[in-house]
Amino acid sequence: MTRVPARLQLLNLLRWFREYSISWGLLSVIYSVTATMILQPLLEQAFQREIHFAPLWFLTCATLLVPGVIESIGFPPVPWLVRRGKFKELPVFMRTYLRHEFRRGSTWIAVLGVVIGGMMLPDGLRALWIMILLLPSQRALYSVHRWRRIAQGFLPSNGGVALVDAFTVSQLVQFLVAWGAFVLSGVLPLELAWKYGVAGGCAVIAASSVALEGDSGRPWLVNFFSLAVAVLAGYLVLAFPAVALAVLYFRHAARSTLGSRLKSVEHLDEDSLVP
Amino acid sequence: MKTLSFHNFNIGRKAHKLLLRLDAQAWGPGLHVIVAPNGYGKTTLLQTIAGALPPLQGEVKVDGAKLDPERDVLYVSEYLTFPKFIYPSEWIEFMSGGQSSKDESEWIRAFRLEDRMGEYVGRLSQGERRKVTWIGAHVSPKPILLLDEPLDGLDLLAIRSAREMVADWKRRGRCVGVVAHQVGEVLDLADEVWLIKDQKLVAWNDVMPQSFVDSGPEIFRKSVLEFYTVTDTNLVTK
Repeated sequence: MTRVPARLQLLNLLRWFREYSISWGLLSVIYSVTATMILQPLLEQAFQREIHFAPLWFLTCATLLVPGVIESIGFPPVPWLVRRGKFKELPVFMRTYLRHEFRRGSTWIAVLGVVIGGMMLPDGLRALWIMILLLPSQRALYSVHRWRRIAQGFLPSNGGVALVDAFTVSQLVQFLVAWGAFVLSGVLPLELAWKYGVAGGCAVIAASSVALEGDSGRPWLVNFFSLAVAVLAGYLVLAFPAVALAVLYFRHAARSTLGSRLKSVEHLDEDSLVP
Repeated sequence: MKTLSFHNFNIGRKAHKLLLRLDAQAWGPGLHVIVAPNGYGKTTLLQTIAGALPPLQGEVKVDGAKLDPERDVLYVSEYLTFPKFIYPSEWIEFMSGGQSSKDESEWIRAFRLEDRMGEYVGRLSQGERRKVTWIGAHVSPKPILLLDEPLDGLDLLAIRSAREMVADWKRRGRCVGVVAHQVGEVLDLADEVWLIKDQKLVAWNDVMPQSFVDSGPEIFRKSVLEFYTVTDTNLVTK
């Protein structure tokens, strides 16, 4: 195999940086800092202690990279979980999405991570579970741009709605599995289980409702945006359960703008498989 | 039987300095082949008709009514994006909009895919994936098919099956737009050949002295080369 000379590799790297450093780098910093700024007072209030900004920002960025790693590792599929031709009663786009998503090893590794992560949390830091349970949605966002191409190609008018609906249903199923296992583990007292269930569900709905945001049509920006929205929704509902109604309203309102979001990516062509 | 008509339909991409104007052309039932050099807007044209890209101006009508891409048009990209862990039958079902087709299994046999239906799409070769999209296009209920380089990666036997499929579509009155560089494989089936010149879509018979059907693949190829050798102003330079 011909090896690309180091000089060309370096040139490619520099040109990649020149092309994307502003759009990806700057906006990523803005989103991550925003997410951290939202997170900091909420966590300080939850844990009744001062949390420094810099380590929290680092933690936020690192957390955003973990799902990308899970998504990029080719875990073996779990074909026995979803047999061929399942979900016939669902809309055609949703059934295709769910069959694929539920057969993937990465999907269930992330769910397992949520359960184990939750069980490892000490009592005083239990509220962090709301953040951990965003792992599956953050993982799925790393490949949503490829589904976006499929939706754009085959369902140009309603593909945005179809994709976000499928994404939301998939994420809610994964959340229910993780939450059920978490509750059954006995770590979470039963009186808190419902509170965390509602807050977690709202966080997942909020995270899913912005799955088509980020004009580049690539992961990273959409991950930051989704994390910020979900953390805000999750912790606000945890503190004030009535905010759940506002989350549902905003989800409904966001749905009506999805048609135009689908077309914000100009380049359709990419010879690739959804991982 | 559907006829597409273009009304002051301008398409383009600023990033590619591309502009293409269509007005008063019509694509009736049958096979329409678009031939033009790379970067002249063939793919952009198909994607804009299919509603995946917004037009700069104007509209497309189907039988005089506004085109609804989601209801009327199936666009199959040159580049195939598949979910890795989906079976071919499930992808065909997706392309069919969930409707079943009587002759699906016949075409699966014709394309020699029957032994591969139990594999995930991600484990098929590029050519086999292309075959899956052909069968998906066949079972699609949409009357207008736009295929971008649909012959890429197909072996000779599969090309024969694809030609039979196109002939079947023509009998059913489907309107099929194809962008293909391997024009010789479908030239005898074509009802019209379209060329792109000076940012306009022009019918072969309006600019060429000889019918593309009578010319045969070799003369056709030479005619196209001569046609595009003359400098034209297709690319927007300002």
